[in-house]
Amino acid sequence: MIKFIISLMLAANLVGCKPNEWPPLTNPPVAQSPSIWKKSLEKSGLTSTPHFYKGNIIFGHPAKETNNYLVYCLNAETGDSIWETRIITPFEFDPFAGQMSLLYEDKLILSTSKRMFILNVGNGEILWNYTDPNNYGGVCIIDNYIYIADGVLRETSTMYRFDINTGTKEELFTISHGINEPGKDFTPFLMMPVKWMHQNGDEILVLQNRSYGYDKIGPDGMNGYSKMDLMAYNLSADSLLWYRYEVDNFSSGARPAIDGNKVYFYGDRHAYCINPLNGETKWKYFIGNGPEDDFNTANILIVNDKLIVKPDNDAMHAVNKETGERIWLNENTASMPGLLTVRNDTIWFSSGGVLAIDANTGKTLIDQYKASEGSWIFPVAFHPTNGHIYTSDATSFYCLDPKYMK
Amino acid sequence: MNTQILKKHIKFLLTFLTFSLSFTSFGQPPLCDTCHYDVEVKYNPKIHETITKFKKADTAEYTPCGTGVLIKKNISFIHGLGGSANSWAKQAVWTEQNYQSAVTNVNYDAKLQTSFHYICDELIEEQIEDGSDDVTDDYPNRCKLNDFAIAHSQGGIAARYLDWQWDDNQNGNFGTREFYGLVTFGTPHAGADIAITKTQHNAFIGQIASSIFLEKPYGIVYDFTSSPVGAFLGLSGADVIDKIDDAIVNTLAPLSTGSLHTPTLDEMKPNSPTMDSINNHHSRLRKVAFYGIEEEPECWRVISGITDTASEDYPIWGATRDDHFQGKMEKARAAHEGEVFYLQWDLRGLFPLGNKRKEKESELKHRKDAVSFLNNANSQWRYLIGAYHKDSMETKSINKYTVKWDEKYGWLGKWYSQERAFYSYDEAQSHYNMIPHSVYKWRNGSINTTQETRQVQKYFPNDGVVLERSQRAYPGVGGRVDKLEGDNHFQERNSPEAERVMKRLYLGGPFGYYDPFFATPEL
Repeated sequence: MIKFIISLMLAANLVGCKPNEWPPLTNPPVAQSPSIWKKSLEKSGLTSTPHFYKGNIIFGHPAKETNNYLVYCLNAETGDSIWETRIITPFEFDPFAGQMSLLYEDKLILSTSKRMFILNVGNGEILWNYTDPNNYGGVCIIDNYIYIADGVLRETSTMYRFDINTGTKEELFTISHGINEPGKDFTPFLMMPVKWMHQNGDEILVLQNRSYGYDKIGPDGMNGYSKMDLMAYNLSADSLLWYRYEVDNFSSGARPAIDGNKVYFYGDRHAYCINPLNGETKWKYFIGNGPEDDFNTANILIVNDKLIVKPDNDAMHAVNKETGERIWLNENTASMPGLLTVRNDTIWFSSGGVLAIDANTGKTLIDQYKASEGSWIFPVAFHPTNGHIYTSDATSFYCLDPKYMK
Repeated sequence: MNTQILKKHIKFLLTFLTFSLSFTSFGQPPLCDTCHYDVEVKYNPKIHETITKFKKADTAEYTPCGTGVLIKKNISFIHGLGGSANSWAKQAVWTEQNYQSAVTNVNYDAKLQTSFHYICDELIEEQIEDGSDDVTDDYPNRCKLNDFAIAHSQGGIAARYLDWQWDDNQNGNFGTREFYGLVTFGTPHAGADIAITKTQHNAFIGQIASSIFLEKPYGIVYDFTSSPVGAFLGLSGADVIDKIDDAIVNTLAPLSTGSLHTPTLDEMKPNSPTMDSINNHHSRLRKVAFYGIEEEPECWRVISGITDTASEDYPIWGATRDDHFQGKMEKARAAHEGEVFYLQWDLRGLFPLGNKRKEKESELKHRKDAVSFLNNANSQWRYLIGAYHKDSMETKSINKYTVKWDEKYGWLGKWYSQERAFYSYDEAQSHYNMIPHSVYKWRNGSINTTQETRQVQKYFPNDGVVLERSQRAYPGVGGRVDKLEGDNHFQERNSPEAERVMKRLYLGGPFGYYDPFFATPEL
């Protein structure tokens, strides 16, 4: 009897093991991939800043052939190619730096310190291009003009602008090396300006002359003297409005940001708020005297009521753009960030991975996310409605859904 | 029917065991209980701290060319230990083809490295001087004061040694100064901790070899060629040894084997007379020190660069992270774990007997040792390069993820409560996902997160060979953040990150990423 019962139990147990009679499985939490699509690029290389334009995403990347550069326009939803333009130059053309690729209305500007190409974003046609006899430091767009400033033999720096539609070049003003010049006997390097409208209607360019004394001993006792001169040039009157000599020493080459009657610069361990009317300092914000408290890489970003202050180190500060008082500090964001971009109060950048920081609280939302083992060092662009982001890992271009980025 | 069911049970059990083994081995916090390579290192943190504390460069750096003069510069490229002219060849050509500069690509034979004095006096200085003279022949009025050198790893120490000799030493044929600035990539400015442990490296490399290649005690080699490991490797057992031996002799050996004569490695030990001399030398060079930081497991990534595709074999700026060797080792470990299971099963029975049994016991031990080594290999590598040090501990809060579930093994079976702890959420979730496929019935599954506070060995970031703090400790370079994120020691001279920083270096003054001294205009 006992044997029978045991046999029955065993039999019942074995019957229970039939695969098709297994209990229904619960659905365990399964992570969804953030990768919506990706496009493989022809070779590993530096990707330019991507831009979103009317449902498409546009960026540049070196082609596999030497001195060939490809500009891609992809459908932002699917990654399908819309157009592709090949730029061939006698030497390498690689507009990789964050602020050297700009989108303005229906035109894309790609620039290195030597060459510039202007493309029609609708079809990829190259509208015009420019090669500088020397080298220039940066590029920016104000209204319908592209601005550059060159440096010649460490003696002069001249600001030029181009009509974005025709490519017509216009010389604006020059700062020279010389004891009677506003920057004295320092080599001038004019940086990219912002435009401020004077109350009398004059157009004013506010900018930095990042000057350098190659043969001078600086305040720190070292050979080579860096100083941050600030200036305002009245375009309407074709004259210098004001010039402030040596506001600070070592400084960032980033283009300043403007908000109403305030212009923001990064100097030596300080962020500055400057009155564009007369160059006076309204306030300055001290980031710290640690060895890494320098500005070099990040741009100057304004998000609502905050000025975002990102040194080269791991810290990120947000200060009240009116008063210069700290709102928050996150000491654990990645260093050497490159271009910062903002969408819906979230600050995005890459530094060995994609980071997202809540601009209101400073909280890290995404911490160095990588979809591959590649180089995640390129700026981030956004889809305006569905929240997807676009960036590169040097070998592929990605569309990512931040919802699934941990 | 019953046999099939039993087989299915065994299959589930094996699957579950395999996953359990692999997850427990990966889920360890960074504390290596079984590492054998910790040694008494006379580590002096002060040397790093004092060097990196100062923001600004040293005083009285060389004055670069002034205004209105012809600046036709010569940039010298100097490779590191075990390198060759190939190491910087593509970057030198790229520089010359795209920038207003001539280049000199230095080549010195690793086999002739009797000392830094010798390689600088007899090999490097002469080449740099010849290169500079060639440029001056073409541009007699050129200003040379903006000439500089770019060096990788030991090449940076050699360049600094030369700088020191040019300033202070009359005892040798060092000629006159030929460069006024120095840019280093991954150079151990405060010394290379890996040099201290070099006698330990043979054993480490030997264990890598034995982990994928088993030798019977009496000299007969197990045939791995038909095994999963052999298939993955695509090599016969002997080929594997040859390849690794080749890597040891040609590339890794200078860094990692005490049996070879590597006096320059001895000179690169922290606080060695040579390192102390060049660090105490009041250098007037303009300086930038780029540093790579590699992610775990840096050990396999570095060895990938040695045994598979070398950094210079990639296209210009195309050296990507190579996980090839890591993949091999993980597959080797999985194969060993599977074999361990079957060997233990075999040895539980009456058979085999006699010599056959001893042989199986020997193989079991060997495979268990291999699994143990592979589970801890990266931690052990960290000891070897100084990324872990037995006296450097810190208290850390670690997230612990506990997977809990109830399971039963048959219809009338009892419910058993199970739980397993992980230190990675991904691993916890993977385990959770595997449960339904591993047991007859399960219920009440959950993943709970708790925090554990524990003492762990402090980890010093590195590029897989040289610690970050040593790469940055170039006296006078200050605290600049000149990072190559995710680059290992060999990758860091030819990666997209290297391209980015090199272009920024040449952009120089206008953008101001680096000292305007290094500005080199585009052609």
